[in-house]
Amino acid sequence: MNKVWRLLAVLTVLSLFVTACVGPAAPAAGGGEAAGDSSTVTVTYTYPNTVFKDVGLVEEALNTLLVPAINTKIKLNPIDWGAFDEKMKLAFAAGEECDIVFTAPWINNYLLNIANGNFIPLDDLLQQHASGLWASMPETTWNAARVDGKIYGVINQQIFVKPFGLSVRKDLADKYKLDVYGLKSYDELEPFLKAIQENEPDVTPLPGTSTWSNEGNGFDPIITEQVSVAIRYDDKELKVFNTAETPEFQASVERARRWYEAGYAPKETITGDDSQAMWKAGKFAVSGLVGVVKPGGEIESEQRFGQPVYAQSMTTPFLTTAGTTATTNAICSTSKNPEAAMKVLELLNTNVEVYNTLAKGIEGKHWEWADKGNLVIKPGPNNADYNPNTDWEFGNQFLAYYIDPKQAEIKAWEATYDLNTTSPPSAAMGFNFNAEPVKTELANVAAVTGELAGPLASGQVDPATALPDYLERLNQAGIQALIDECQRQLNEWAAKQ
Amino acid sequence: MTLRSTSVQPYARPTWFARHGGQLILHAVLLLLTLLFLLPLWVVISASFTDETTLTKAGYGLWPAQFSVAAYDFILQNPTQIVNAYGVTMLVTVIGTVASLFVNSLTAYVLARVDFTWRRPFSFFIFFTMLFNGGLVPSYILITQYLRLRDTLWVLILPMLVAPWYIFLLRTYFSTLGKEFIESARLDGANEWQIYSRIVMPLSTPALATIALFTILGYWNDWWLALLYINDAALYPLQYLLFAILRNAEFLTTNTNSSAMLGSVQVPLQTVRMAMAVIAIGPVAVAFVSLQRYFVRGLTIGGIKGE
Repeated sequence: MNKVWRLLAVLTVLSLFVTACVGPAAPAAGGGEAAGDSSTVTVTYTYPNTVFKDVGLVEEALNTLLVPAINTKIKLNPIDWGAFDEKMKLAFAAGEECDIVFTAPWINNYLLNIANGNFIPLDDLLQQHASGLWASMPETTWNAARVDGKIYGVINQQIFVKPFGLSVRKDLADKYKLDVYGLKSYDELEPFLKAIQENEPDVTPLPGTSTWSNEGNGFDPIITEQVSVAIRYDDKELKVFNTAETPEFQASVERARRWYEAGYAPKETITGDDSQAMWKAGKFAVSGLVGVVKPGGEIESEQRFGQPVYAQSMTTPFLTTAGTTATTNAICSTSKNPEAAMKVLELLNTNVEVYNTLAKGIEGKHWEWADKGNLVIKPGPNNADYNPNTDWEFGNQFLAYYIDPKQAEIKAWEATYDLNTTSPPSAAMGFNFNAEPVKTELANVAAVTGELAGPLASGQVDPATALPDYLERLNQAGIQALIDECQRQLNEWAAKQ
Repeated sequence: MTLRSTSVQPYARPTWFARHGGQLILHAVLLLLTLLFLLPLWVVISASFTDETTLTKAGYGLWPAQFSVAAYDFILQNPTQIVNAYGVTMLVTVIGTVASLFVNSLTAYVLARVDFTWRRPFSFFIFFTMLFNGGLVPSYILITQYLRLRDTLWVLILPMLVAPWYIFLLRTYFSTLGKEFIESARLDGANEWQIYSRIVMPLSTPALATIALFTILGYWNDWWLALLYINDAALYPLQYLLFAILRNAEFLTTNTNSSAMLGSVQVPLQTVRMAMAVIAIGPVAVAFVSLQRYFVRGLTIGGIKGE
């Protein structure tokens, strides 16, 4: 016993010291196979994703492309989705060195990072080292990424607009002769819902009765989606108002009440997960009333849920700041090689081979050609070892190979690009609201909206009494202060344009 | 009241029920309680073997309405990774618990010895860290930039090695052991190490077992350290791997930004959650059962006076 304890003690103490003093070997610079000399710099790319087994192989493949072109190697640093926010906050707080990082309004917050000085302005770098990337988007698009006049994020091209609309099960629409593509307003859906309710005992017409969305009514929610403050996207006067006071909102909640009382949807609210599972199981006739209807979306929906659908947008799409900056890549202020990082971003946004190697993996391993002429691919033998499935994360999504021949047929990327470029920008495009002066009011109003707007929008409460009550509570929470402050900042911003 | 009760008839021989009734009721209550604890576990296991769509339609049940191993298929589609994570967690738990028990008990023992001059300053020093600490960012900087422990096994062990709370628990227990034990051992010619390892440790099994169980649970369930300090997938411990699988799957199923899916992944999210719970629970339940008998005694730590 004594000997054992002594041995254990010595071993423990020794091993602790050894590890603590020596530490792990410095991480080997990625690349391996790729050539390169002492002048080759290495740029890290930190992004949220599943950490796939073959990330190292993809890194090597990327480096064989990058080193000859720009004498730069890339080190891929994927971090699990659930850990990304936490890890990035700590890394920035600890002043860790990084080069390219993924950022967005919804993860690794773009504005917050800029406020904390974590990113560098990219205007000069873009023009000097990324002319192709710079030219690939119109000035109005770049403006969305501007904060105090400077661009801090390289916008990944993907769908910028929110053409909200509905998806109806194909078999049921055909059976009851509903012309989904001819629908102009939600009211026209009513006879179909009634028919389903009367003739299809196993199917509930709707998962929920809310038809409300800002975008669907041409409102640009310039503060956040969480509070009912907006401008009309085409209003050159930039008048800020409370959307809950509009006739559009009233019409929407009254319709929802009518449908709710008729029993077109389950009485209790269903959460996202459950409603997806029930949709998969064929329990609803309409998958949702306010979903993004994008080119190729019907195919995507069928692939995911096994239900063929007709999808129809009920919105005149327009560009907003938040929608345009939804996925971006930035360069850290701790980066030692910002020029090299920008050159990498240039290739990720303009070079089909570089982009697809990162987004899809290695040919013959992770994917194979299904139809090379139309750039359609199919899963390769080792697809499970590298399959990020997040085209929009790495660069210009319109460079991605199609994975379904039907997408290629309708030229989904060209169609989306057209949608982006033909949609008019909101009058407040490029405006970012600074919430600091009205933090309290924002939190209060968001709390009231979170509590009352849901039941109202889905018709669970009677709008005759609940709507005036909601407006009263919003006023008490200080929505007028929000509107005034927003108007002031907006006028100031407009004066500088 | 015309109700007749056996207990109010003073001279009648107590009936069978009167003699055993108390026990019967007690057993019934305990049985009910056991069921209350076991049933949720059983429902989780049953749900993990149910087909996802059926689960949505029919809800949870004591028996799978439609048997399916899809959830386990999904988690185990990369079995080497799970096995590897199991290995990491086992290694960390075993090394961590043994080392932690050793360091904590040794510290506590020294602090419990009244003839140790620096007892108070050291106690205060350790106690101080229970109330005040540098916070997350400084410890992150220390661990990643000075100790360079990122992506090593040690980072999963060292931050939880010394626990002031356990040290004080053990110190309290050690000080209830009579001084006489130590003195008589010394008279018999034992040195300090022998007193510690042959006298104090064997006398403290209940306390040590309790602390060991807590420590095992702590190491086994930890995913936070891995979230902060581990990037290398080969070093993922089990809990973090399960957390990551779930979060990544959740993200891919709910995210509306995602373009069409390559190979059309269908993730049985609800059942996967249950299957993960089942996979993660196994060995720890065994540890609990085997340490339980000490655990009951250990709970009364501090209340025990020298035997």
